[in-house]
Order: sequence, then structure tokens, then C-alpha cells
Amino acid sequence: MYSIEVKNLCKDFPLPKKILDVLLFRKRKFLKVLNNVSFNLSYGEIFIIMGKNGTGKTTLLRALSNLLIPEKGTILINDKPVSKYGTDLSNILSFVNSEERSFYWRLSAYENLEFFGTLLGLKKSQLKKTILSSLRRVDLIKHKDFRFDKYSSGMKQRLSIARGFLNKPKIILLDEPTRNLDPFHAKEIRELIKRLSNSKTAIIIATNNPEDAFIGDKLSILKNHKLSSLKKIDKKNLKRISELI
Amino acid sequence: MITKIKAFFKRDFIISASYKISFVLDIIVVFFQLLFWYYISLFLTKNIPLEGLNYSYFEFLIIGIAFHSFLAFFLTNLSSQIRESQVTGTLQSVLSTPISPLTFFIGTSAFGFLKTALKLFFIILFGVILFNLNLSNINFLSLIVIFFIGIISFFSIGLIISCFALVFKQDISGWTDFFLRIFNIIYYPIILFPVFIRPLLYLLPTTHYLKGIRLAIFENASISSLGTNILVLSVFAVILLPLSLWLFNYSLKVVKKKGTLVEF
Repeated sequence: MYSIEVKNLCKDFPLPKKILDVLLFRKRKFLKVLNNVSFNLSYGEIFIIMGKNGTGKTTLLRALSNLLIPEKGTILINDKPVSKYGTDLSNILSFVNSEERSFYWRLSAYENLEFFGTLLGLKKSQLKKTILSSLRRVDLIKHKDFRFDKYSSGMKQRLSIARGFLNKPKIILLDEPTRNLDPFHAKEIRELIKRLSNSKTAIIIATNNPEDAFIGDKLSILKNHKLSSLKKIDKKNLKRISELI
Repeated sequence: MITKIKAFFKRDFIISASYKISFVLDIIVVFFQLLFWYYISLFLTKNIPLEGLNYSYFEFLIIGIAFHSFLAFFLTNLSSQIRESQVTGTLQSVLSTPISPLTFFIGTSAFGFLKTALKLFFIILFGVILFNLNLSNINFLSLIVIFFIGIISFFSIGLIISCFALVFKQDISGWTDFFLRIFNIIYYPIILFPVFIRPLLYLLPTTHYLKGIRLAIFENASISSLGTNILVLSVFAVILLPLSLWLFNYSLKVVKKKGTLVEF
């Protein structure tokens, strides 16, 4: 059984109509973002999706986490269509986006994780322990009581990762997890992701940083709305990966 | 569900408390608002026909303003909360958790509800202590019944308005509240409206809500004597609640299809 199976996924976004188009009753134009994207992933694997900015990596992850409904194609999570999960999906899948604006800026890091941890269904007895160990993992334990708006971009990014792993989901989607990080913390985060991955976890990382590719088991390039065939990751082909994206 | 609602409450409490003097300012504003309306009422009393009623124009006004604050809260809160969470980017993170729409709505309203209740309490308190508001004829049971049925109706209307914010990224709740302030019996009785508008006002739940509230407070009206008001509000509640929940789920599907859930 695959953890995730994607078949012929297509997504178009409607483009805003210009005034002239409205007056002349012209049909709305669409921007193709994903075209017949297919892949599958087993538990225990880390899958790297690389591509330039704007190639549809985030769109793909949002479709996988049911935050976006595709025009065509199927997404199966544990052999069940993703749309059938409803709110239960977040019990097994976590989407860690690189967006800073996803926390409450006037709450501390701890309070933010406490809020999201409660919504994720963590029991009160384990909530504090889980939050503290998550903060320790991402090296934020000393800053746990700092308000989120006082955090640097890198700290916000690390907190986002801590939230993603809070309820120990089996499938984790990471959108550019090392985007705002300095080389030291980027390395730490890669090591953390590698550590957290095990035979029971499936991880997808969307990135444009070739360094991230080396923690993956397989790699694919998203280019021209299509996902290239899977490639074996080898340190020797770092330059080749950069060329491909 | 309760634990999650508590989490929302705690979140909003901490955020609200971080703006240290906002609550005190709110209470001070309540006092000056009442003072303002007191003098306006002295000026207007002679021109507003309230003959045959058991209460003064200022008492009419004070209850209208106090209970309209609840009405306005339920009409505007969800829409403004959704709009705010779109702008701050937290909507997607909250909707990515296993939370039912109902828990989300109740959770986002919980703290604001308490704040509005406190505001109502201070309006009534200042009214009684400083402006001789007479509450000796109050029928608590009728008041509670009409109040809670009204809340369900306005919550549902607020939910429908919030769908507009979700899909079109615009908060129209302020406009709705403004419209209802004009075509409502908060500041003036229904008799002041042109004859042809009056039947239309009786089609609005707000008219039955405020009318029922005033009757329960000043006329000791029993539940049976408020039958029409309670019936109309119940019909609105029964129709609008499932409709608004369906519409919200549908709107959520639309934004997921258009890919605009995170847009603001």
C-alpha cells in the first residue's frame, strides 16, 4: 500500500478578467499549474520535489492536503481519496508551509503551539510535554515565551516545523523548509527531518534548494507543469540537479 | 469540542489582554455613549410618540442599544474574524486541523460573546445607577428565551455574511449592520417609519428580537404573549441555521476550487 498515490493530477487557476474582457463577454482564461502529475510514495520514504519558484510545488502540496480541489486526477492517501477524509485528514497528514503569516503574532511560541496542539487533538496531559520536546528539537526552547512577532524569519520557520510534527503525523508535507534559515539551522533542520523520518512516516519536501535533495530517497523535478521521472539522488549530481531545475 | 472552544477563548483572551487598556477604554466609551444618548433623548422625547408605553424614550433607547450590541456582534463577528484570519494568514492553519465548522464558529465567537455580554452588563448597570433605568417589571424567562432564539438567527445571518468574506475577500458585515441600524427599532419606534415600510420591518428578525426584548423587560410579557415574536425568530433560526452551514461548506469548496483560500 502506498501512503500517497497521485494519478494524472491537473490544476488550473482562473486569471482575473480585464475590464475589456468583461465588456466583450470574453471567456475567462486559465493558468495551467499542474498537468497530469503522477507519482506514488511509500512509508519510510522521503520524496523531494524540486522546481523553480512558481512552478506549482506549493499548489501540489496544497492539493495533497485537501486545501485545494484539483480539476482532474485522483489523490489517494492510504488508498482512500483525500476528499473523503474531511477534517480527519489532519490526524495523519501535516502540511508545513513556509508562510510566516500562519501564526498569531501576539502569542508566544509556546502559546501558539498550545493552541494548534489543542486543535490537533493532543490530550491535555501530553500537550505540555509534546510542545516542550518539539521546541527543544528545533532549538527554540530558550525562546518559548517570546512573542511570535519578536522572532526572526528563521525562528518562525523552525516554529512552523515544530508545529508540523506536533501530532506525529504519518505523512508530512514540507514546503521549502529551509527557505529562511541560515546554513547552520538549515543543516539542523535537514538532520531533524531525516531523524524524524522512519519506516512509518512518508515525507514530501518541495524545495528549490539542491542541498535539501540529499536527505531524500527519491527526487523529481517539477518543470513546465509536469513532474519529471524519479531520479536517484547522488551527491555527484548536485550540479546536474541545479541545471535541471 | 469544549477543549477546542476553550483554546480559542484562551487565544482571544491573551491577544485581547496584550492590548492593555482596550477593555477599560471600552467601558469608558459605554459611559459616554450613554451620556450622549441621554442628552439626545431629552431633546427628542417631545417629538417621538411613545404614548401608552410603560417606559420613557431613554429607557427604550438604552435597551435598544444594549441588545443591539449582541445582534451586531453575531452579524459581524464571524465575517470580521474570517477576514482578519485571511489577512493574518491563520485561516489555512486553523482549517488544516481536525476541527468541525461548528466548533470553529463557536470557538471564534466565544471570547467576543463574553466581551459583548460584559458590555451589555455595564450599559444596564450604568443605566440603572445613573439614569434611573427601571427593571422592576422584567420577565427573565421570556427575556432568556427570546434572547437565545434571536442569537441563533443572527448567528446564522452572520455565517451567511461570512461566506461573502470567504469567497470575495470583503467584509460586508459593517454595511449590513449599518443598514439594520437604519431599518430597525433600536433608536426609534416602528411608528416613525412610513406606513408602507412597516410591514416590511416585521419581516426582519431584528424587529421581533428587539420588540420581544423590550416587552419582556418593561411589560413583564410572558412567553405566551410573545408568541408571534418567538415564532418568527424560531422560523428564521430553523431555516437559516442549516442553510448557513450548508452555504459555508459550499463557499469553502468554491475557494478550494479557485485556490483562493489563502488569498486576501
